[in-house]
Amino acid sequence: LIDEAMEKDQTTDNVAVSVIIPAYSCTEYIRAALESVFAQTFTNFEIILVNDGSPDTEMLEHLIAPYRDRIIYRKQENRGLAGARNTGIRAARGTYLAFLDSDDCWPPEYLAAQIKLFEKSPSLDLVYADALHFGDAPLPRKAFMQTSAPPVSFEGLLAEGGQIIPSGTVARRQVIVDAGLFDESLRRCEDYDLWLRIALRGARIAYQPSVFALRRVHSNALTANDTKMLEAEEQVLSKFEKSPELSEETRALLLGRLASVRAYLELEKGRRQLLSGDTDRARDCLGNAYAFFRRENPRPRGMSIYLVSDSKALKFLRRAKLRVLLWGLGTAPRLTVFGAKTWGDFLQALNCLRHPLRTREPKRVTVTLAVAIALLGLACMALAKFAIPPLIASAYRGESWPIFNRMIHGQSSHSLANYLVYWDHLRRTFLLLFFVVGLLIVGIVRPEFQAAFWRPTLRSPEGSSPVVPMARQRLLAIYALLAVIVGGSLLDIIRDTEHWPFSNYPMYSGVENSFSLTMFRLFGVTQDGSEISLHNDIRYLQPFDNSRLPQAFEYVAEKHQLREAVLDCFLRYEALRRAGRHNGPQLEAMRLYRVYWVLDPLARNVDHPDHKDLFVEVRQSETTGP
Amino acid sequence: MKWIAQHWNNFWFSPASADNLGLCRVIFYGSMLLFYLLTPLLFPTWGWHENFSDWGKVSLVFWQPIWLFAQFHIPRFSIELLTAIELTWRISLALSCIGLFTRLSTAVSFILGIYLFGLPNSFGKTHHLDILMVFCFLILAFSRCGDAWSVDCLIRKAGHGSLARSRTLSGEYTWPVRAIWVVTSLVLFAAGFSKLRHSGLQWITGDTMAIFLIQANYHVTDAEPLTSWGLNLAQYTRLSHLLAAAAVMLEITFPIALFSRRARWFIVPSGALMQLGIAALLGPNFYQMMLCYSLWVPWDRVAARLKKQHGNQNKYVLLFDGGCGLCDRTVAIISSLDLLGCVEFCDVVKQRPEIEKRFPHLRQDQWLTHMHVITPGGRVRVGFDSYRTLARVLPLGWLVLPGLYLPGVSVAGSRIYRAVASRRHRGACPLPGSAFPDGSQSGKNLEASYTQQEPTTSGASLASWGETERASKRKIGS
Repeated sequence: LIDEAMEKDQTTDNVAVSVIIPAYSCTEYIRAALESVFAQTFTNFEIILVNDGSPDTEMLEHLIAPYRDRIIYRKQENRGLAGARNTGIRAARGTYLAFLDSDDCWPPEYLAAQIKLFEKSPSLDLVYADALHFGDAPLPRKAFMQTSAPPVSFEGLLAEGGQIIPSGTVARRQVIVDAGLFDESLRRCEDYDLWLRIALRGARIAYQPSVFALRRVHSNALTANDTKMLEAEEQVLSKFEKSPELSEETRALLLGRLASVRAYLELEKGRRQLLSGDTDRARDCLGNAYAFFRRENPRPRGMSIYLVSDSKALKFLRRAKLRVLLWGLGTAPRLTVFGAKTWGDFLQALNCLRHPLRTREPKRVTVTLAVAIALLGLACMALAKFAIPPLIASAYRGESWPIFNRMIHGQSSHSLANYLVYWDHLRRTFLLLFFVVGLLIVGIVRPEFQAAFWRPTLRSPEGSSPVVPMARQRLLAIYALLAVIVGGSLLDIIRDTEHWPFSNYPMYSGVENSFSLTMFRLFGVTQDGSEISLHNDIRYLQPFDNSRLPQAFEYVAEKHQLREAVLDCFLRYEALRRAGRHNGPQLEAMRLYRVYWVLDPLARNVDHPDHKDLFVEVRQSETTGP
Repeated sequence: MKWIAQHWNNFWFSPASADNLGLCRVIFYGSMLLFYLLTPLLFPTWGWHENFSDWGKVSLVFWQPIWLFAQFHIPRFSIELLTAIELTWRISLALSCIGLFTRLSTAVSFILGIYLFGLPNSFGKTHHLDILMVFCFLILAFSRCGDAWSVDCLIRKAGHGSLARSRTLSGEYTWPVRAIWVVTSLVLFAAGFSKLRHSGLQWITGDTMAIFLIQANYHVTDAEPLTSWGLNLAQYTRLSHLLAAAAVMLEITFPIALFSRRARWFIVPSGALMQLGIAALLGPNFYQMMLCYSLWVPWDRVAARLKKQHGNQNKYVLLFDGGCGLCDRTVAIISSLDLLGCVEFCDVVKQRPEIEKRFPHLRQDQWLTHMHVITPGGRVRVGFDSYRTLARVLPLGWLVLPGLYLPGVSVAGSRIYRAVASRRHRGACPLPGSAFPDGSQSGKNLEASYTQQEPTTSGASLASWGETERASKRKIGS
């Protein structure tokens, strides 16, 4: 393997960096990854994309088709990340190797910054950068590293754990080849293993502070399974346990680290045994973990970084929780298991809301959540019914706590009964909303709901063209938009209100019984003193139309500003006439009437209302102004 | 739950190509643009769709902001600003229609559109004719409607240069159209529901419809009725009852069109007809809303059928060098413009044996270096002339076709073609460069040599190849 890779040295041409992208079930993200590489300001690179026996190869190949002339594509049987990266290394021609996971991205200046560091210090063997998380909750927008002193030695790597992520790493190809490439027997933590080996060989490692890689967080990532990551970390550290190259101090550090990882692993195993109801094994595992945590309180580093928090309070809580669990398992094992399961279900249900599609025991989770919501609802109901009204009454009299007194004491405009009625209305609305939202939440945690509505996977109707799945965030945004449009419309329809652009569409909905018509009408007085209706030609009063203007006058009449309104219409009529936009006569005056018709079946009296009341008259002389 | 989820997903997210949504975008924005550009000129007596900037001249005495404007304190801007907004909006409609900067232009269309549509409604009375359009603008702005039938798509294809039209399916292209359907149904259902809620069956059985029909002739509506037939209809009580019942029935049952494909064929055209009837008898015109009904048409199927009809006829064969990035990108664009499926694309690198067999008269060294178009009649067009021939075939090419036949264009075009062709191998083209620079044959000479040359292998003249192919197709067909 190494020889084969060494042979490449002879054929290496001027490519500076070989970007190695292993691809496995990554169709959602691969284009973003490739585009981020093509967008690099440093351009002397080649891309080697290794399809590691991906089950969606057809789709993958379809997606990368536009890039095929610009990348080197290799396809192989599934051999894991290590195998895929090794294939990429073997095909690489560049002096430097840059690793990029198919779900991660780089900012445009990433490679340029990394190579600049190499050029600045030619003796460097490996340069790595921090990464910013993006994608699913809860880690987005946080940096990957948690320390201010990034590890650059074997001891540092041991102490700090897996702080070097492949997507932020650029290394000399020769160094990686000399270290023996990635260990293909490892399915996880293979990068940690290689960095340790490289560090152990005395390679010069540097941390790049000026640029970040972009690390995607999602539930399908290999690092998402905490237990397996811990097992892999233990496997990696065990490899170095018997290494003769370690000094005594380093070995002690390694053993300490190994003990810590094993304790976390025992903790995880114990938790699983507890949930599965195997109390004996759970007690053994948790006992082992407790024995370690009681003695030491290690900083949770390395692969277990996602597993536990760093805060002192949580460390104390963990110890206390372990002690209670062990005591419970000793005295009332079944009750402890039930309590642990219920608590776990509740936490899982909460987690489900943040990470859909992760529900493991949907029925239990649903029931627990439903019961919790029902109990909480009942408690709120009791509180709102029996505790709050006396509080309102005492606050109204100024006999409650100052904070409540200030809210209503002395506001004599409303009676106490008003406040109580208002509270009663508020209470009912709140409880209704509470139960509706609760029901929705219970529905949302159901895996069927999540699978169906969060990630619909529908087959192609034609069976030929590939179907591009929709990202969850996109679906969420679409549902939000639909909820706003449809929900807003339905709300207005049900409540019979109007909030433009939402409406209940009440046009022509009223009953008409009388064959009569009453409305405001504008008439113009021509120079010969005759009156003409200004509604006969719609151009006279533009932009108003015959439906809008009478309604507008009704509104203006309430404000007692009819004269200003008619004056405005007069001025606009004349302005439009002078601009040639209508051919109406010059007016001496404009009059606003409220007119009344008895409807004629053939509308013969349209120009002769049966009755009209003059409201306002504006004369020509008034339009010139002072 | 499974059943609901399955039907829910089938309705909203059943995978579809981007074609239908793209065509809906072209039709919706195109028709809106034409409507707002042309109707004020063609039909100046229509009341309410005049220049929006005119509202800048109206006194604020009439200002009665709608809920949206009141909530967000949106003011009435000055005439100058309104004119600028209206102009920008129309430009955004045009850009959205052709699909240039689609994401931006559709977003601008919505943002400015909601303001412009809301503005008249803030002067005394809310009309409900334009609400559906506001939602259509919003939905299309949020969708990926520029992924097909757009200049953006052409630019992307020119960048990637893949001949195969990337026909990926996704629910992304289904939900916007369905959302517009749902909103349309809601609008009509709400109108029917309001009538029943406020008036009950009396709206149908009373004189309401007859009175509305008569009132419409007293200049009370936003536009005058197109006819005075309403007065005649109002004389017949049962007829007006029937009209009222049909209107309410249609409005209430409109949502059925969402679920039943058969009912859709009846309900949607009936909805359009009803609104046409309203314009004819009562006055209010729902023309823009009726344009929205066009989004119920499966345009991708219409286009596919048209393409199929034309595709069955004899095709123009385009020989291009698939190994050359420039040629590949050019052909990708041409394939996108080939709306009627009149062109068959043959990559001389990948389909070399097939081409040699089909066109034995063509010289291999030439079709490797020049773009060739072989007409159904068997005539060979090379270089710039091939583009001119294609302009006749591609619908969008008709726009530039007259320009290509202007005096001097042929000479200039040939020179440009030669200049580009001779340089194409400087990029990523692995094939030998054009023969032009060393003074060998130009496109015209080549065409002449083809017409003079007799076939050596098949015995049939190139001009009769079309016949040969037709014969072979018939043979295959039989």
